Amino acid sequence: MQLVVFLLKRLGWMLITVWVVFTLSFFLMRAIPGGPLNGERVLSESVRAQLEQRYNLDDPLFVQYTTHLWNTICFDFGPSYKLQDFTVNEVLAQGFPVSAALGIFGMTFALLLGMTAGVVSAVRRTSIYDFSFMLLATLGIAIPSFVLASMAIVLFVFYFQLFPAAGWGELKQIVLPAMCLGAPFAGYIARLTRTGMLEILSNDYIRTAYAKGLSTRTVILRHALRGSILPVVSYLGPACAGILTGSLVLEKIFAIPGMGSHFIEAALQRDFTLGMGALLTYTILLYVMNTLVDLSYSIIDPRVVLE
Amino acid sequence: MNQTPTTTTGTQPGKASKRLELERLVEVMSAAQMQQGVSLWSDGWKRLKRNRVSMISLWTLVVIVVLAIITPALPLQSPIFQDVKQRELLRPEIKSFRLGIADYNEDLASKRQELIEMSTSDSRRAALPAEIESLEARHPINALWNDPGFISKAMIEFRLFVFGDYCIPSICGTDKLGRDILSRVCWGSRVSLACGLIATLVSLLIGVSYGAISGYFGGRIDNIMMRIIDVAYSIPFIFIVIFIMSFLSAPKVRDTLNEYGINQITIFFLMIGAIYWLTMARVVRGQVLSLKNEQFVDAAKTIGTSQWGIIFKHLVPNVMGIVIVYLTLTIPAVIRFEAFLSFLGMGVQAPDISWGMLVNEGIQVITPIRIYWWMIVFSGFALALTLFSLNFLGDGVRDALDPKLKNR
Amino acid sequence: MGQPILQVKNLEVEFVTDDGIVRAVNDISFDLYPGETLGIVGESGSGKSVTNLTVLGLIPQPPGRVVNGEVLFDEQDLLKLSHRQFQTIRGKRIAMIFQDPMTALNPFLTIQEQLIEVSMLHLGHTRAAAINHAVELLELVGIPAAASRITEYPHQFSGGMRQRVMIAMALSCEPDILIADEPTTALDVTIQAQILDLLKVMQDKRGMAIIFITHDLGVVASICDRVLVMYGGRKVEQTDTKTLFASARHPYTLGLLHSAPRWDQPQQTRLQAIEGQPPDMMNLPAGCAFAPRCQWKTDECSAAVPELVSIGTESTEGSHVFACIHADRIQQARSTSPEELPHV
Repeated sequence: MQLVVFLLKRLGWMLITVWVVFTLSFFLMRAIPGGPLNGERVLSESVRAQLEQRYNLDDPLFVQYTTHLWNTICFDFGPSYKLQDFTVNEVLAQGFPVSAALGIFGMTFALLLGMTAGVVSAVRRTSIYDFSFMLLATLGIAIPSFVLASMAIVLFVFYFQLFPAAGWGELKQIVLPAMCLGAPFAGYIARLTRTGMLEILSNDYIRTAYAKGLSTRTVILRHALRGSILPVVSYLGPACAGILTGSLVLEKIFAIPGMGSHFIEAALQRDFTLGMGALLTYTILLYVMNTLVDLSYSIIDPRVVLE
Repeated sequence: MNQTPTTTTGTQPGKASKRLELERLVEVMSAAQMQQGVSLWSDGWKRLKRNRVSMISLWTLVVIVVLAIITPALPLQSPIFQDVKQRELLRPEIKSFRLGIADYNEDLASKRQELIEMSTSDSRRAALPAEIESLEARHPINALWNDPGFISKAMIEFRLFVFGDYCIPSICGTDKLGRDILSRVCWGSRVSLACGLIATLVSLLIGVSYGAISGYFGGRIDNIMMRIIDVAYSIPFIFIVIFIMSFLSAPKVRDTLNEYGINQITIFFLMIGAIYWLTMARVVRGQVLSLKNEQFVDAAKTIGTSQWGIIFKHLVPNVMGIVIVYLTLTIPAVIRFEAFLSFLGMGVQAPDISWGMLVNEGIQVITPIRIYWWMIVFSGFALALTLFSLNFLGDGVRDALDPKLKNR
Repeated sequence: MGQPILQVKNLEVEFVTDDGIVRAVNDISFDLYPGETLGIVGESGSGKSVTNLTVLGLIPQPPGRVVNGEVLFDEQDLLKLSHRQFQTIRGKRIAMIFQDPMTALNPFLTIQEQLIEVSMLHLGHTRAAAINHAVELLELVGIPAAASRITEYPHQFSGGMRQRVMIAMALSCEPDILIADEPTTALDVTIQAQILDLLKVMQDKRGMAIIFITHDLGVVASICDRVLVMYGGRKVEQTDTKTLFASARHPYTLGLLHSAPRWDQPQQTRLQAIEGQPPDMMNLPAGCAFAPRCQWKTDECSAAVPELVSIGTESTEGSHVFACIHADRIQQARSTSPEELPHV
C-alpha cells in the first residue's frame, strides 16, 4: 500500500516536471526572435505546409499551446523539421532501442568492473591492487569520454585494428563504445565502493562481528557489503543521467544511429520538433530511472521509509 | 556575613580563602588552556601537505593557470592565422617561424614617440594623430589575435617588445587550416579555465544563498524551496541547455543578443553555472539544517550570541568545509561540460578557441590512412591533465578535511 | 580461588597517530579467576578499553601496536594468535559486549540473522536449531514476545532492548569469559539496574567470569567482586570491592570515592573534584602519572614510576595492591581527620 502511494506521488511529480519542460521549450521556441517558427527561412515547402496546418500559426498563442500540449499528451510529436518524410515518433522509435542497448551495456560494464575493483581495493587497502585500481579509476573519471573515445579509436581501431571503427549491428561494434561510455562511471563506482566499504568497516558493528569470531570473508560479504552498496545505488541516478549524456558524444564519434545522435543533429540543424520530442523523452526516461533507484535504496536499507 | 571592603593586607579568614579559591580556579583554567585543540583548517592544511599526490597536482594546476594567464605575453604563433596552402596539417616540427609584424609595430611606436617629442608648431602635427589612429585600427595584432581586450593587448605588445618577431616553432604541429596547435592549446586554456572558474562561481553564489536561506528559515519556506529544487532536479538541464544552444546560434538571435552587448560566451558561462547550482543548494541546505540543531548552536545561544553572530561565526565556517568539497567536484565537472559542448559544436564558436573544440577538430580529420595524432593528443592531454590534477587535488582536500580519516 | 583462567602480563600498547605516539597502556598485569566479576575502573583515556580490546585482538594494528606483554588463556598467548586461530576463541570462549548498543548492531540485518550466525558458526547448529536457540536466549534476557520480534531490525528496538540483544548474542555459546565494556553507560539509570541484575543472574547460572569496565563506582559496588583501578595506562590499585570502599590507599582512588555524591553525607558538603586535567597520553610525566594532580606529592613522586606494593599476598582473597609511595603517610593523615581530606 505504501508502495502504491509512493508510485502515484512520483507519477504526479513526473507529470508536473514534464509539463514544466514542455512549457519552457514551447515558449522558448515561439518567443525568441529568429526562433523556429518565426524567421526560419530554410524550410521546405511540404514541411512548411504541414507545420502551418498542424500548429495553427495564425491562432492566438493560448490555442496553439493547448493544441500542442494535447498532441504531446497523445504522444504525437509531429513531423520532423528537417528530416522530411519522417515524423518525430518514427525517428525516436528507431533510435531508442539502439541507445538503450548501448546504455545498458555501458552501465553493466561500469557496475561489474567498478564494484569488484572497489571491494578489492578496500579490503587490501594500501596494497598494490588498491593503488593501481584507484589510479585507473581516477584516470577513468578525469579523462572526458570523448577524449578517451578518440584516443581509443586511434589505438584500437587504427593502430591495433582490434575493433571496427563505426556503425552498428554486430556485437563487435558495441564493445568499444560501451566500454568508453562506461569507463568514467566504472571509475567513480570503484571509488564509491571503496570509500563506502572503508567507512562501513570502521563501524562498531563490524567490530562486533569480528568479536563474534566470524571470518573476514563472512564479515565483508554478509555484514559490510550491503551497507557499502548504498552510495553506489544513490549514484546510479546521476550515473544514468551521465550515461545518457555520454551517449550523445559517443554516438556521434562512433556513428551509431541512436536517439542521442538524432538529438544532437536536431540541435545543430535546428530541427525543433525532433529536438523537443527527444527532450521530453529524455525527461521521462530520467525520471523513471531515478524513481527506480529510490525504490531499490529502500529495499536495501530497512531503515529508509518511502515517502 | 557582612563583607566590608578592606585593604589587601586584611587578614580576615573569609577573604583569604576566597583568594586562594580564585588562585586555584585560575590554575585550573590555565592548565585547561594549555591543552591545545587542533583547528580544522590548520589540521587540514597539514594533512594536505603530507599528501604528495595532491601537492603535485596543486603545483601542476598553478603552472597551468599561470601559463594561461601570461599566454599573450609568450612568444607563440598566432592561434587563428590560417595558412592552408603551406602549413596544412604539418607534423610537429622545429622549423623556426617568424611573425612578421615587428616592423609594423616599430613603425607605430616611432610615430607615437614623434608625436610626444614634436613641438606644437610643427605642421605635420595635424596629420600625425590621424595616421596613428589608422595604423592602430589596422594593426595586425587585431587580425592575428582576434581583437584582444585591453590587458591582453598590452601583454602582446610587451611580447613584441621583448621577443620581436621570434615565435616558438610548431612543436605540436598544425591543423587542417594551417594554424599552430601549440598556440591554440594555450589560448584555448584561457577559455576553458575561465569558464570553469566563472561558471563555478555562479553556481556557488546561487547555490549557497539558496541553500542557506532555505535551511536557516526552515518550515514552509524551506518546503517550497526544496520542492522547486526537486522538480528542477528531475529536469535534464543538460539536454535543455543543448536544446537552447541550438537556437542561440541562429543568426537572428545572435544579432539581437549582440545588440544588448551579450556575447555568446557570457550566456554560455551563465547557462553552465545555472546547471550546477542545484547540488550545492541541496548540500548547503542539508548542512545548515543539521547544524541548526547541533548543540554548539544552543551553547552559543546560551552565552548570548546574536542571531547574526550564530550565522557568521558558527554556521558559515562549518558550511565552508562542505562547500569546498563540492567546489572540488564542480570545477572539473564544469570544465568537462564546456569541453563537451564545444566538442559537439555547440559551445564556444570560432574564432574563439576551447580545448573541447580542438579535440573535435582532431577527431574530424581522423582517417584510417593518415592518423593525424597530434591534433588529438596535445589538446586531449591538456584537458586530461587539468582534470586529473583537479581531481587529485579535490581528493586530497576532501581527505584532509574529513575528521574521520584522521590518523588512518 | 584456584587457577586464573586469564592472565594479562606486562601489557603495553601504543598508537601511532598524526600528532604523535599515544601510549595507551603502560605495563598492566592482572589475573581473572573463574566465576568472579572483576571491575576495571578509570576515567576516559585511562586505557581500560584498549586493554580489553587487546585481549580479544580487536585493536586495529595500524595505528595500534602491541609493544610488549602476554595474555595467557587456556595455556596460549592470545597475542601470538593469528586471525584464523582467534576465530575459535572469539564469541565462543571469550565474548564481548560494547558500550553503545545503537551502533554495535548491524542496521541492515535482522536480529535473527545476527543471533543465529554465532551458534551456527561455533556450535554447528542448523538454521532451525539456531533460531530456536536464539529465541530461548531472547526470552532469557527478558525480551517480550521474542518469537515474533526476532525478525525485526535493530532500529525497531529501544536502547535497553538492544543491549539485552547484545548480551544474548554474547552468551549464545556459553563463553568462559564475558568482557563488558561500559555496557550501561549509554542507558538510563533504571535500565542500567535491570541490565546489571541480568548480568548477575546470567553469571550465577553459567559460572562465567566477567570483566566489567566502567567509570561509575556505583556500578562497581553493585556487582563487582574485585576492582582494579587504572590511571594513565597503569594499574594504581587493586583489591576486593569491600576493601576498596572501606580503605582505599591510592590518592586517585580516594579522589574518586570522595567526588561521588553520597546520600549519607550532609547536604551542605561540597563535592571534591579531583583537580587538574587527565594526563596527556602522548607526553606522560616521568614518574607517577597522577603526581601533577595529587595533594600529597613530593619530588620523589616524579622521579620514578611507583612500584605496586601489596598488603597480603596476590593469591589470597584479601590481597590489596596499590602504587603510591606515600600510602602510609596518607593513611595516617586520614586517620586523624577521617571525614575530610585536608585542604591545602
